[in-house]
Amino acid sequence: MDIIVCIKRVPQTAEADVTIDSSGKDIEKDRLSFDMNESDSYALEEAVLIKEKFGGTITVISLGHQDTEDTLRIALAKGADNAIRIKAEDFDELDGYKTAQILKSAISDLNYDLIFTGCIATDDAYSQVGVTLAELLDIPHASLVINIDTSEKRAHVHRELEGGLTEHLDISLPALCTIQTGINEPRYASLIAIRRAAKKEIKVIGKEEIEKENLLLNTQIEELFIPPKTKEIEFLTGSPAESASKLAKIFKEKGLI
Amino acid sequence: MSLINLNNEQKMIRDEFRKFATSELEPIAEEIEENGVFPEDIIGKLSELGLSSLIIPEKYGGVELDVTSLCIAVEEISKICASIGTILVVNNCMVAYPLMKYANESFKEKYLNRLSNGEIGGFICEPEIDLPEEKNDLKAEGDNFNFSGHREFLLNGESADFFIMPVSTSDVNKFYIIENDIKGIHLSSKNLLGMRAAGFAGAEFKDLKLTKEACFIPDDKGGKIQSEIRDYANIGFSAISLGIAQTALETAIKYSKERVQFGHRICEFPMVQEMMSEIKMKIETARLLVYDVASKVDKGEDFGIASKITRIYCGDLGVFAGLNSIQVHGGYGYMKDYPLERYFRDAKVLQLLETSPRISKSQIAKELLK
Repeated sequence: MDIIVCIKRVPQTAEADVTIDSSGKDIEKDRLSFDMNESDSYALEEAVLIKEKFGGTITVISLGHQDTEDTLRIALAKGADNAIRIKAEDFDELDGYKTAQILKSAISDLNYDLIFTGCIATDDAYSQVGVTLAELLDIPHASLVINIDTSEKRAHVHRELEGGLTEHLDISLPALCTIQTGINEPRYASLIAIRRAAKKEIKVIGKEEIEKENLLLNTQIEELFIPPKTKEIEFLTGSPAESASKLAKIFKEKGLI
Repeated sequence: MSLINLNNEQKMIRDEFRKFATSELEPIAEEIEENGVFPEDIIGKLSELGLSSLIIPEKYGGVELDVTSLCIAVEEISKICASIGTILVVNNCMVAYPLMKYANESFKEKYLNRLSNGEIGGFICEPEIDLPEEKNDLKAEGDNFNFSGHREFLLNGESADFFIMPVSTSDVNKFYIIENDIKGIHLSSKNLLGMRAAGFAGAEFKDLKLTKEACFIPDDKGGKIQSEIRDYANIGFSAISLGIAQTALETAIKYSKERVQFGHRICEFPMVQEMMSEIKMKIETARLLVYDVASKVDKGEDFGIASKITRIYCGDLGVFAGLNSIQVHGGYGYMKDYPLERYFRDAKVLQLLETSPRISKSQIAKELLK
């Protein structure tokens, strides 16, 4: 079973002080740390689990700048066999559609039974690349996948829906799945695997290898901003009885009691 | 910002163990420290990832990485839990290293493979000063010795599967390997101020048989090998201090941005800024020292004096960073609700553990005055 995993290097913003850069369309990234997008790491682990069961190869591919190679190397250390970086510096602005077009062009010559992507990138949260890529490659897809059983020609997948529902799908291969977090427990790279991965070659391709025709940018960011504060926290002071009385008054004013 | 440039492999080690520490250690660090629990499960996981056999050659099941890589991993682990950093330094630097360098092939084959398979090695510390007779009763019985006495500190003592035991008197300087279930050894746990999960133990020895077959260094002339092991371990212990200082600073920075006094965030106050800048300056200096001495070892250069200087500087840095980060937090820093007091307690041990800064300074002076 040959699997391609599309991964993205994203800034870690969960606990960082995020500020907008001078363009007003992106965040300041100089002081942020970067890592593999969270759901992509689950996608990689799922690919490794399938490879351990059925054999085959895993190719990780990422559209990114040179430091993306650090993330690809970690993927190699966790079980990928080959890594490809598509030079983001060769392309101007990117959106989900354009990224999918570039990935499609890079993937077209590769053998695969399955393509995995994460279900959402934590930086732009578009959730577009996976399903768009499947459409462009004209292969079936399943999004928000939380379980996969594969055989030679088909995959039985579970999709996570709102309201606690799960949908079971049977899809023919080759297919693309966007992987939800929690589907497995991503492993840590062992030191011996890191040592070996550090010596592996990462294939780098640029605009010469990518079909340039019809690379469309469908969306453009007009402005990125931190929403202004609309509410202030009010601290209730005084004795417990006084605070309780004030709290009850607020509840009454808000119509809660 | 850091003044050290890491290569691809080292960056991966840093990032992966940073992630491991944040995800796996942070949730349990306070609890194991509070209860003084040796974290066997975590050490098992770290062994599987190769950290407890990091410097051991692949031939004996290890990872065969260099001391620079060891320091990177230990620094990251120690940012979250210094006890675990200490366990790993003891396993690599005080147990694996002397075996790798001085043991014959049959000792290497047996004990290095055991370490690579996840067993924990311990080290029985001898004080750096001469021992009174009653603490060190060694009687010759042919080629063997019979030992009775007391040792205050057994590193990794509570959970070691076997120990490296130096035995020194005015006539004898030998290193033995003893199994933890051997007759004649009685371990006792330590109730310490910091590093409570590192498994430090004390021991009473009564008629412990030290056989010729268990001796892997028969003649440590002038205690040079023991001194070399200390110097080697000092590098790892310095990386632990560095990790503690870094995390203390990061905690202080975060708090200073949140805490408002007199209508301003306290990070805006020059005196708070000065405290944090002082810690940062010392951290970057310490980092240069640690990675310089590590690279000396990796290149096969002499590292004795550099390691002593590094250990003294980093030991002081850990305490300085711990104290000043408490100060930035004000009264909250003194509370157990915040992790600062733990950083400080852990840092203090590293000014004392296995080697005394005063003796190290006198050794540096001796070198200067040669």
